[in-house]
Amino acid sequence: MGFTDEHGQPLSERDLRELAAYADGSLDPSRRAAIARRIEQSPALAELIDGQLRALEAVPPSAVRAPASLRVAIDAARAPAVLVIVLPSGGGGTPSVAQAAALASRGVAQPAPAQDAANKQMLASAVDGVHYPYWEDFGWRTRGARNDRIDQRPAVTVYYDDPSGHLIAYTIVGGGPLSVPAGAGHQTLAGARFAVFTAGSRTVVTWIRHGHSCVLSGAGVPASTMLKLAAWHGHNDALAAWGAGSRSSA
Amino acid sequence: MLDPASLGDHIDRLYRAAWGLCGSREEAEDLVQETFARVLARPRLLRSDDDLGYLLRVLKNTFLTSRRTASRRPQTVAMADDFDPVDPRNGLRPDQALAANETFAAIAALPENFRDALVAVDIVGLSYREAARALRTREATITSRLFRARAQVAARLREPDLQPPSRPDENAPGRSPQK
Repeated sequence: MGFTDEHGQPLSERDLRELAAYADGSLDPSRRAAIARRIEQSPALAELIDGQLRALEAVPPSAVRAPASLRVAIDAARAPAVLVIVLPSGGGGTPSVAQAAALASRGVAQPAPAQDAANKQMLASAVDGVHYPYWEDFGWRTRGARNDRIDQRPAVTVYYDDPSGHLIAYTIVGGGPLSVPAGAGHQTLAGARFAVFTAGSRTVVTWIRHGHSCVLSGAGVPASTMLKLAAWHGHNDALAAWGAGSRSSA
Repeated sequence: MLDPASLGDHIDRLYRAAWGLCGSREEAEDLVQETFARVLARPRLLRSDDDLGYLLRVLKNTFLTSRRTASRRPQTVAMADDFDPVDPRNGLRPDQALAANETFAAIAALPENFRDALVAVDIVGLSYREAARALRTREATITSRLFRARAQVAARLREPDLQPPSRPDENAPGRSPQK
C-alpha cells in the first residue's frame, strides 16, 4: 500500500512514523505543530490521519476482559500444586474428590454408553438419576466407561476423547458431596460453584449436580475447556449451589 | 524474578492480544493459558518494567508454535459459537461485542509484522520502545509498521471483503524481521 501526499508524491518512512505518532499522541511536542499544519493543508494527509484515528477508535477497549473460566484456570496454575493424598476407601470419613479423580487413571473397562433416546443432550448412563452429558457435538466423543465403588458408594466414570486423542474422565459418585482438597481454586460460573486443582499431571474440575459430586479430570486439556464443558447448561440446568453440602476446606 | 502473583494483572491485556493474534476468542483463551503455563514453568529474571513485554513475546512464540503444531495434526472440532456459558460477551453490550469481533478479525488478518506491531502498541499498550524490545526490532520499524497496520485495519473495517495488499518488503518468504 503506497501512501502519497496531495501532490501524489510518496510519503517517506519518516512521514509515516510521524503521522502514526501524531494520531496516538506520542509525537514529540516539538514536531506536533508542524505536522498539524501539514495535515491542515493536505486533504490526502487528513484522510490518512482519519484512517489512523478510526483504527485507534476501533481497537477493542479494556472492557474486553478475559472470561472467568480463563481466570480460574490461570489462578489454578499459579497456585502452588495441591498435595493430593489418595487414602484407601473404608476409613469412615467423607470420601474425597481426589479419590474419585484417581479412578480415571484405571482406564476404560466397559463400552461407551449410548445417547439417551429421550434427551439427546444426555447419555443413557446415570448415577442416582444424574445423567452424563452428550458432548459429541462439541468434538468430545464418548469413549467408554467403568464402574467402581468408593466407601460403598457407586462411582461411575464415563470417558470422552477428542480428535487429537485427549481423554477426559467424568465421574459421578453416589451419595452426598465429596471433600475438596484445601488449596483448590474456586469459581462461580453460570450459577454453579466449581473447584479446580491439579493432581499429578491431571487437571480436576469438580462441582455438584443434584447433590452429587461430579468430577471431570484430564491431562493436557486446558482447564478453561474443562470448565466450559462442566458449565454447559445442557446438563447443568438444575445445578445445586455449592456451599451447604460442600466439605470444601479451601 | 518474574513474580507469579503479579501475572494476574496482565490477563486481560494478554487475552486481548491473543484474540488479535488468532482472531478467535476460543483460541485466545487456550493461547493465554498455554502462555502462562510456559512462563510459570520457567521463571525468568526480568527488569521490573519488562514483564509485559516478556509475556507478549512468549505469547507470540506460543501462538506460532501452536499454529505449526495444528497444521500437523487432525483438525479438532471447534466448540459451537454459542457454547460459552461463561460471560459470553466478556462484559460488553452486544453491539460492542460485535464490533470487537470485527476488529479482532481485521487485526488477525494483517500481515504478521504489521499485526504484531499493532497488538504490541495499540492493544497491549507498550510504548514504541518497549514494543521494539519485545518484538526484537527497531523502534522506527515498529512505528512505520504500526501506521500501515492501522491503515489496513481502517480499510478492512470500512470494506470487510477487502483483500490485504501484498507488500514485497514485508513478510516476504525468507525475509526475517528488521533488526
